[in-house]
Amino acid sequence: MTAQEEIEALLARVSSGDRTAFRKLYAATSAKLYGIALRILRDEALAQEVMEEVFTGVWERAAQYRGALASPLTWLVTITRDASIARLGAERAAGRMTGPVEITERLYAPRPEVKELEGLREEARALETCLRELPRARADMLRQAYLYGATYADLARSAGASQDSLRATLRGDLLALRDCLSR
Amino acid sequence: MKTPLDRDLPGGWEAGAAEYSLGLMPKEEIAGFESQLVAEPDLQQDVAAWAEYFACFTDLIPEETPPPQVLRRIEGKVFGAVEKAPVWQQVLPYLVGAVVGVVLAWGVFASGLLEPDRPVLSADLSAADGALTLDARFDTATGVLTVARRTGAAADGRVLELWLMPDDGAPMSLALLRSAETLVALPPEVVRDLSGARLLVSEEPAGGAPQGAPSDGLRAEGRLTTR
Repeated sequence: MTAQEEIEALLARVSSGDRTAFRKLYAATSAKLYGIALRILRDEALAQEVMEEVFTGVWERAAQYRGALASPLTWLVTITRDASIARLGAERAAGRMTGPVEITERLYAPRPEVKELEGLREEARALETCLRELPRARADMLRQAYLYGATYADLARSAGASQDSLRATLRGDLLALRDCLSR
Repeated sequence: MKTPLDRDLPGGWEAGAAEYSLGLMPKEEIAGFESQLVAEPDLQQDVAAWAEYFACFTDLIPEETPPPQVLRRIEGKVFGAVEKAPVWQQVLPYLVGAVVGVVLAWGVFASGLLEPDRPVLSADLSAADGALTLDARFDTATGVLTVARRTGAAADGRVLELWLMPDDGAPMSLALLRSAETLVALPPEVVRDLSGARLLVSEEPAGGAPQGAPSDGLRAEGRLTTR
């Protein structure tokens, strides 16, 4: 059984209220998910609250995973990413945290080195290879959107461009990326 | 049904699927996109593929093991809620099999499962100034400790944290008391010896005590006794 299949099997058991499966699922995925929450939020207390939110949700809604198109780990990663970004947005709105532009200036969105590409799984390698066909600054904007919740307004401000023209450009980039990925 | 933006911007729904998965889609366009998504399997496929690819951005983020109290709090929330399920749901697993059912009915009565809310051990938690008072009830049948706040609260931006203080050994964080009533599923090794156990409530920064031990902000305490 692959790791993905194991997570999928655990999710199915969790959806029928299996506590042992829930603990196993937590043991198998929490370090990966906590790493993501911590990277996005840069705050242990907030990242821990996101973990509570994510796993409480998993217990209540594991059944929703069935039939989803994404892999089970991607489902968990996406939920964690979205919850972390939402929390980051709330903290920023309340003035308790700086914006994503300041954050990325301090902690640059990591782009894997060429030598690191080999160690990546197939999808990640394809994504990184295709991102390299875009201008670097714009590829990094896509990373910042995903990892720090940067909006078009944030990106336009830091690039000194108008929001509409940046959006048109990035949408073109996303289509080019799609073409490259489907090759 | 195309919005003006989809006509003016390159890529149409296909680019929209990427923006949606990346979190870049402006808030006011999301509802329109999602109603399209429900109707179009191809678009769902696109969103799923993007989710799969963009999740790769997290591949290089180092794993970090969350501290143990995170799982404890999660279990307190999710299993605690389950423990409050109606009696028949708690008893149901014991009723599988008609023959053994009769024998087990005795076991169910004897273990007190039919009275899930009956407190076996309880404590009044308070401090000399009386500003904060709480009730704690421990149900040995379910292993759940219920803590209810009667008066007082944490200061703004702070949180109350509940601790078990063994006579010898380090204090153990049981839960953050964010709501008026908190259910904590206690680990079996703790449950064994709770009579006379000392509980303490401290006031901590929003995420709980940073050092894993109660800070000086002691707010209330008490001992679990049989009533």
